Amino acid sequence: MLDRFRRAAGVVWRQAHGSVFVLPDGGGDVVVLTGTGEQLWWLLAEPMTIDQAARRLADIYGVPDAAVSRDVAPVVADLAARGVLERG
Amino acid sequence: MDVTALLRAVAAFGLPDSSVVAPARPLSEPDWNELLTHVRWQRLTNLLAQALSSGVFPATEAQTTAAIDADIPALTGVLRLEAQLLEVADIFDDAGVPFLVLKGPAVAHLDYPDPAWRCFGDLDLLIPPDALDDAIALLRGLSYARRFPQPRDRFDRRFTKSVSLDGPDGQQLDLHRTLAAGGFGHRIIVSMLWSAPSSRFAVGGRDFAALGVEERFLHACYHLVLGNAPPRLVPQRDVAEMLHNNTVDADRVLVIASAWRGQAVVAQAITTTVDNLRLSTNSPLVAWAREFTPGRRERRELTRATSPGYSYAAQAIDSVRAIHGPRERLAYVSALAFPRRSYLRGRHSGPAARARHALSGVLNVRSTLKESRD
Repeated sequence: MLDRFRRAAGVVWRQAHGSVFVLPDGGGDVVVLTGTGEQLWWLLAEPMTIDQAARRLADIYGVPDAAVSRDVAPVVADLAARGVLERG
Repeated sequence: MDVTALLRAVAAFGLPDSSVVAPARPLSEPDWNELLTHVRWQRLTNLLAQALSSGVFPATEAQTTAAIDADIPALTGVLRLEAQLLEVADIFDDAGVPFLVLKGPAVAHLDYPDPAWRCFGDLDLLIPPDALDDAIALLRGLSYARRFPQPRDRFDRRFTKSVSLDGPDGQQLDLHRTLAAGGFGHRIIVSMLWSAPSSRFAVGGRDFAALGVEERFLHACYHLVLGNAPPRLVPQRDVAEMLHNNTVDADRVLVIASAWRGQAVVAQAITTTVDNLRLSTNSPLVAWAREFTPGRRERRELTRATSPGYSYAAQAIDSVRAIHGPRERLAYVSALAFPRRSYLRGRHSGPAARARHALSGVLNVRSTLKESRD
């Protein structure tokens, strides 16, 4: 939980149609971020830990930190595995 | 339905200076389908989807969904081209080949309020003439293949407008020596493109150099007028964005256009854009363009160069006239008159087709010369 995450270097992206479309470095499939995923994308323009991101999301959505934190961790892990986010 | 008026309404979406009017109600299905076909061809799916989603352009829910669906492939195509740009940039940087990004990616990031508003279908890079051969060789190492061989050695670096290459995954990359073909292209002073301060933009966290703002404006004008007949709408939107931004130094534009003897091209690009997209911009360039009267020779060359039937032969004749110095002219003419066999093989199916092409070339030359004399 103390690792900091940010947008991966070398990804290209556009915001359109209420989503963010991200092509990871090295190609592959375009990842479409909506809702919480999109909010995470904007937050992780600057590196932050999952807890910090969860607190910010909790503020945005007006829900308890703990609930958001449980949801955010697997999303961040998935996006990191797809090359959209990286540790740093 | 006036599809031209509808296309202009799409192309002008979001332009504060435009008085183009969107339709009052959703289009019928046949009209909608026709519009969507044209919008795809004009690479305006992004603006159509934005116009519909925002409610500026009335549409049924199904039409809005169809517009977004039509835009997704264009959008992902743009992302793949930017990834390609990052890959090519690494190779060129490692080899010390300088380049400037032209058109799509540069204009999208530098001149539009949001890069998602500018779609593009290929990559265009400006390469210094004496580095063009090295750049092509480097791309061959990435499995790129040029579409046509050059007619003679050193033709690319001396005379060509651009070299088109196809990448291993079907992506297209154009390496430019200069910004336009024909006489107007040959009068562009290429060294000026490299000596001017460049603009900078970022893609994928990497910094890229593009033409300076005035050179970018001039390129948009040349592309608008000389790129397609009739002119397509995306370059008109590019010119409109740059006029609206008010970052273009009008005096500098006119000095460069004069040095390139391209004022007629620039004036036509501006008036076409202002008239088609009904702009009420206060740029001094618009007042200049309205007043500008080209000389007889410039007017005739522009008429030829913007006609849908502007043949390769006519373009070559205009080029010969513009190329500086008898030695260079002779080298250009002899390269085209006596090219390598491999150059002809790629362009014609057999000896009979080559003979037909040569005959039509001669007829075109005669007709162009006659037209010039009249």
